[in-house]
Amino acid sequence: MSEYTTLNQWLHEALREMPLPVWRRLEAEYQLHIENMKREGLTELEAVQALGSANQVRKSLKRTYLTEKELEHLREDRHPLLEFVSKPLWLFLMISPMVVIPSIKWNVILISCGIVVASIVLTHLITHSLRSDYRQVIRDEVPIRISTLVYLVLICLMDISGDFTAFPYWSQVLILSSLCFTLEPFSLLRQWSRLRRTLQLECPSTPSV
Amino acid sequence: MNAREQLRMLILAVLERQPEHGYAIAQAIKTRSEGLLTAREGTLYPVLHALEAEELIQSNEYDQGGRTRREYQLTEKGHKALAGSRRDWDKKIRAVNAVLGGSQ
Repeated sequence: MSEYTTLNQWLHEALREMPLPVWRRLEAEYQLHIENMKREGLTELEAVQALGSANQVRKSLKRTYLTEKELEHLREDRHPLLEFVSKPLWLFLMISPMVVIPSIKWNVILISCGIVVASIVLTHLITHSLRSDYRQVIRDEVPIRISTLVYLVLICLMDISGDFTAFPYWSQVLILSSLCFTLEPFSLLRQWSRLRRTLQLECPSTPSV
Repeated sequence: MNAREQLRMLILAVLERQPEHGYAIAQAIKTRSEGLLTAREGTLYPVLHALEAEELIQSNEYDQGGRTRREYQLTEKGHKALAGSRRDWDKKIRAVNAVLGGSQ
């Protein structure tokens, strides 16, 4: 049995993590639902009980929408330290194999340049309809990190001229560091459908977010 | 098929006949199943929103008696998904019936 006695209490619990546009739409739908139940002769308490667990509804909504906190995280400026570290780290990860492996072949460098360009173009295509503030975050982060990961994995797999043997743990270090570097954008991509859906409710008048 | 998947299928089946708003969908499930199927009505809207996000249904707002109502209707993709769910469900029913029939 639900512990809430009024619809407002129930809604507050069920929707408390949702962004405002999601909150507004669901609030209107539940209010209308309860009004219909009252017209059938139920009291507000009985109608709220019939809605069931607010906690369950909140969990269920989080599968479809990003929470307000998650949206804020996407909008907010990144930590200055992360900003300071990320680009030099990327350069280090990209250039270090060329320094460590003197016999690196030019076609590997060309392939890696191709990967960088392809991932930038792909990210721009995927995000062109997103709102500008979210679009910028994704365009800044995702291509650089994904291309770094692909490039380094490619180099380690090719194991060019056996030079890694001089640095026995080098390939593992490269793969691990690039994995850490790409972790955040991957979580962003995982949230992609929820982000799209949440922004659709934020700007319902536009055909695409 | 868990309870959420069942509710998804029932909602699609209700909307196959005509567009409906949330309360009418809940009532239709209750009435058509002669009261045997009753979902916690709070769970209906998260499922409706998820189906809309997957483009299996779409919704439109309209005014009725000074109140804004939201009506849901099945999309082409939803029709196909419902047909697929029906086939899966029929298979399960036949399999269960075969086992039950065999034990008699």
